[in-house]
Amino acid sequence: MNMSLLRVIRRLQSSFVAPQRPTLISTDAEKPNVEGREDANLFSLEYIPPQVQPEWHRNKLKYRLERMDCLRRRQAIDIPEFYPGSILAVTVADNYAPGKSMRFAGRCLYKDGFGLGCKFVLRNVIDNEGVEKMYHLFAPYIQKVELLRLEKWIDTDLRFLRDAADQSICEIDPNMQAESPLPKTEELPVYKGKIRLREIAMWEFLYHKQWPRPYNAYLEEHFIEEELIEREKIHWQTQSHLKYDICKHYDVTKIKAEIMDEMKDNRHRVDVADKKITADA
Amino acid sequence: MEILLRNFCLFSSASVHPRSLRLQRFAFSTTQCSWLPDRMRYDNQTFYDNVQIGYKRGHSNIRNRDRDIKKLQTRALQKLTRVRIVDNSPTALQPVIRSARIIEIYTKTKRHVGGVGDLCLITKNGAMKRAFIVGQRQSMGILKARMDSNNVIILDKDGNPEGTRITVPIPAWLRGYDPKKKHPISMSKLVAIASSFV
Repeated sequence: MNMSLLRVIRRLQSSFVAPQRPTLISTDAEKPNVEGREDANLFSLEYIPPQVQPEWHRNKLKYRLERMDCLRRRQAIDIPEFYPGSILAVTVADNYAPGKSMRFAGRCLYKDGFGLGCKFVLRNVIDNEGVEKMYHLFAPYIQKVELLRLEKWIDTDLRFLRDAADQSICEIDPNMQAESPLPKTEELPVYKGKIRLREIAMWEFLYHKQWPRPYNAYLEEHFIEEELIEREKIHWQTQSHLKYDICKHYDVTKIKAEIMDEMKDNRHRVDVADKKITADA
Repeated sequence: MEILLRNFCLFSSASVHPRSLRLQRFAFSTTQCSWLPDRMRYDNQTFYDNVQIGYKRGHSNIRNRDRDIKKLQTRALQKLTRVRIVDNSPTALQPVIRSARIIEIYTKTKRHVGGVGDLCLITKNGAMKRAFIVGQRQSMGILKARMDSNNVIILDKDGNPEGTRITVPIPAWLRGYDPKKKHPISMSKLVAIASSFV
C-alpha cells in the first residue's frame, strides 16, 4: 500500500481536535481608574485654580493657558503620580556638578501651588543632618522624576517629620531600588500610623495646639484630662469657627469635572498650537 | 513748563535740600517699616517721559524692591545666633564650655544679618574665630537646601579652612559661588574638603 495513503487514513482515524487559541484579552485595560487616581494628563491637584476673592479678580484665561503648559511639560518628561509621604528622586541640571546633573532622593513633605508654580519639598537625612529641598514640579531644569515608593498619608503636610524623635523615617538611601506602584485601577491604602515626636519646648511650634492637628503625629501624650477640658473651652471660644470656614473646605467636585472636560480637548489644542509654531519657524 | 521751572528753582537753591522736599516724593503702597529700604524717589529710572536713565542696581531703586525683600527673608543669622561647627578643626573638637555663637557678620551693608555664603566671626569657649556659613535652618526658596541646623566651618586668617573634612553635606550652589568679600575666602579648598553636596 502506498505510504502517503496510509498517512491520510491515520489522520482521519485520530480523534485529535486542535485546541482553540486562548483569548489573551486583559480586563485591566477596560477598568477605569479609581476616583482620586485619575490620569495626570486629565486631572491632577495642581490644576485646581486658587481661590481668589473677589471672583471677578480671577483670570480664567490664565488658568486655562497654564493648564495647557502643564500638559506640554507632562508630554516632555514623565512625571509620576505622587502624594506627600511618597519617596521620590529628582535629577536636576547643574553646571557645576561632575555629570552636569544632580540627583536628590527624599520623602515628599508637601506639595502646593497652582499650575506651573506647583512646588514640592523633599526631605532626606544625610550624615545625621536633615536636608530639605524645594522644586518646581514643571521646571525645565528637572531632567527626571523617579518614584521610588508610592505612599499616601492622611496628612497632606508632613512638616512635623522635622521634629520626629526617630529621624530614620526620612533617612532614605539614594540608591534605593524603585518599588513598582499599585496600578491605577486599585485604590491606594492610606497610611494611618502615628509618628512619635521629640520633646518640643514651650517656645517652639506646638503641634498639639494648632488646628488642623496633624493626624500622623503622636500627640496624645500632651493631653491631660484637665488640660483637655480647658483647651476645648478655649478652642470653642476662639478657633471653633474655623471648621465652618467654607474657604478651608474648598469643594472641588464641580471644578474637577469642568477641568477634566477641558483637559480632554487640551491635548488636541496643544498639538495644533505646536504644529503652528513649527510651521512658522 | 512752569512746573519744570519751579523744580529747577527749588533744586538750584542752596538753602533747600532736595531730601526735605516731601512734595517731590510719591509712592504707591510704601510701607512705613523702618527695616524696608527707603527710596528717596519712587522710581529713579524714570526721569521724564520717554527719557530713561540706565538700569540702576542697589537699594535706592524701587524696581529692586522684591529682590531686596527676598534677600531680607532668606537671611536669618545674626549676632548671638548659636551655630554648629561642622568640620574637624581643633576648635570644633574641643569640649564645649561656652557654645559657639556668632558675634559679627561681615556684610557689605550695615544690616548685620547673614545667610549661607557669608563670612562671620564666631566665638567658642571664649576664643574668636572667623567662620564661613555653609547651612541654615531658614528656607532659601527653590533648589537651595534647607538644613536642620545652622552650620559653620572655621577659617584661618588667609581664608583657608582649618579642618580637613566637612562632616555634613554642603549646598551644591556653593561650587559656583564667588564670595566677593573684603576678607579672602578660598572657596576651592572649601569645596575640595566637602564630603557630599546637596
